[in-house]
Amino acid sequence: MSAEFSPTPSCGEPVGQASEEPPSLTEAQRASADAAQEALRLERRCRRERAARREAERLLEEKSSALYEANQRLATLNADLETVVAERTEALRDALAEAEAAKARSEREAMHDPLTGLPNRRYLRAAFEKMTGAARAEGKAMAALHLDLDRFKLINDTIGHAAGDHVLLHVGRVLSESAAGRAFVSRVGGDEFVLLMLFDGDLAEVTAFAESIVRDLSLPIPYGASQLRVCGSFGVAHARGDAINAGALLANADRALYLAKGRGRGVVAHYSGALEQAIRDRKALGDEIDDAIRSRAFEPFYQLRVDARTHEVRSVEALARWRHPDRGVLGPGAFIEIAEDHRVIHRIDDIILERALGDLAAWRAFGLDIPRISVNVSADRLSQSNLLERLKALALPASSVSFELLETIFLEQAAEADFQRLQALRDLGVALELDDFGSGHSSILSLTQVRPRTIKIDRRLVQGLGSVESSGVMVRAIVEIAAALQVRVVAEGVETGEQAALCAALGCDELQGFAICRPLPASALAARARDIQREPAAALGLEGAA
Amino acid sequence: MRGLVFTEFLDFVEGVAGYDVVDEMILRADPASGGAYTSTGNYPFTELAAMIGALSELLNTPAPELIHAYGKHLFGRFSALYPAFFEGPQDTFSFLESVESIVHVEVRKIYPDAQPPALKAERVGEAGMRLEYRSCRPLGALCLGLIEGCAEHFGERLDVSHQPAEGGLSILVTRVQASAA
Repeated sequence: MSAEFSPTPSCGEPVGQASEEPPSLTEAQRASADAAQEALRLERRCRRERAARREAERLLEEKSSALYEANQRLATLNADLETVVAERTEALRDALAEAEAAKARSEREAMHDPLTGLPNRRYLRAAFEKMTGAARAEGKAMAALHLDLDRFKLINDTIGHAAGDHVLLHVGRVLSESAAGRAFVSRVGGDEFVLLMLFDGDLAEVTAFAESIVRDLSLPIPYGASQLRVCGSFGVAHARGDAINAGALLANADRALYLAKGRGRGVVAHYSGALEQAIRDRKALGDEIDDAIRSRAFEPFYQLRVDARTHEVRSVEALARWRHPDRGVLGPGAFIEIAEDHRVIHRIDDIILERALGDLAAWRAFGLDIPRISVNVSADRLSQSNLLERLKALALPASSVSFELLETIFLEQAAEADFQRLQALRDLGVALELDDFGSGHSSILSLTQVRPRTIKIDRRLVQGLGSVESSGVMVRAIVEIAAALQVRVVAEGVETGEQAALCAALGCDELQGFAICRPLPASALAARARDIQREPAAALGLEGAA
Repeated sequence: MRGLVFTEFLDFVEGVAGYDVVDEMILRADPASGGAYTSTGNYPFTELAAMIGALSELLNTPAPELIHAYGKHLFGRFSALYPAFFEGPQDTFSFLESVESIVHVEVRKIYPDAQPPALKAERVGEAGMRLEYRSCRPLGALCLGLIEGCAEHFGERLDVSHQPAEGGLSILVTRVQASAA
């Protein structure tokens, strides 16, 4: 099977030669025949090889054509692919551009307040870093100005969020315009803004800047047909060189703001060591007030109100006092402001009202005729959502309770809901009194808005009687207006018999003040009331004046 | 059938018997193509069969013997012409395994109309391999010659036995240890 192939011709003779040759041929003839045979073979070989070459060329040509066609198809395919790639690249570019835009948008959103468009707290931190570098490089000082709006919450709560937003947008614009080129402005909270500025070192420059903003902010803000009023207070802290530290500077500005808020409205306060102490004191006092509320260390003192002509007792006003364990009995000046700040004033109002009602019931049980009791009610208390329920639960004695409304601010910006609330109070039998009448700039308007039972003429007008000519004129005018509106008039702050007589002569209905009765604890009031009831003129020492 | 098989066949015959024999063989077989072949062409198998028949007569040698010898020669030419197929396999068995899975696959890619035979390889124990050869052409002897050429290429000695099978051959190849040689 694996035997090597051996090309042995079957006949044992040279291939292609005839097996039998004519013996007649000579050697020369045979050689010539062989040569002719060989020539024929060569010719055939050449023919075959030429044919094979032509065939090969034809195949080559065929392959070339096929290649050319394949190449054409590839070129078309390539062009198609390039079109697809171009389209996809275009789409990708669009998608990338969209993604870039979205990224930029989200970065902007992450760094800005959506309402005002101002930088937010995050942006503030970044700006602080940048400005710190600039301050150090240029040898400048840096100030952080923390602005908090006064009365913003009141607007938001009583007029609505739309009004609140309107105010914030307005404030944002005022700040941006004031700070343009001078300071960085950011909104860091509901009604809080932080400004950063570099200055040469003269703090007066910063103060003037803050005060100019406070002035701009205090201008009325047009809102539909009406106007809104806010104002702002600034806490300012500054540092220079390596002492510039974001955390400390912003915290100090915040502390200064706390103090500014405590001093009133529209205040610019600078951070200092003394301020730090004042803040600690305020903080401590706030904590003490919280404790005092819990232990009910607040109690009412009372001041009698008498009829201006007959001097009969008409009413008592309950005044909040704090029986402090170390400092004795403290008046409102010692705690009202901080209690308002801590938003606990309504709880003090509540305690006073409750205890006053208890005292009134006790007096009446012992046969003392106190026709009416009045309590001061803060705007904070008035806006408490549970006020009416609370009052209903207390079962107020009929026609015996008056609320003295302290806050004229509330009345300036009151909304329909507030007047409805006042009506609900009237429906409960609570009489409304306007306190400090004549001191607020919209007092006359408030008469028609609040429709009080009684107005209490501001003590400054009363105390001017007899010495300041215009006081008499104004008291008389108020009395006339009140009479026209069937509103009773109480003269507050009556300190002398002369003032008492003048008030009576000018037509006031009732008198209140040191001349009548100093603020007394419940236990002492009964005695004073009996004295007056027994012998009014003598008890009051008004014989001469009357 | 691939032209290469024809051109290599003519070269083989010329190499061992001279062109005179080639010429005579063509004259006797009288193929339609006139004996003009090109390696990239495609020619009827009948022409090859006719030429083998003529050669067998001329040389008085059985056709299978001629075809077997040609197969052995052809393998040597394959290894010279297509070295890429020899980069992977390191011995006869692994090459034979690659014929069906690699070589014929590539052949079909280049010549979509090609009809290579099937050669299913299966190892039998450590030193054996069963090959199932199937073809539309009666060229079992060519296959056996190629296997022998392959063994020679890898310097191995093989014992090859075969028996007819439906459409081809069933072949058993056994590696012969050098010491037994």
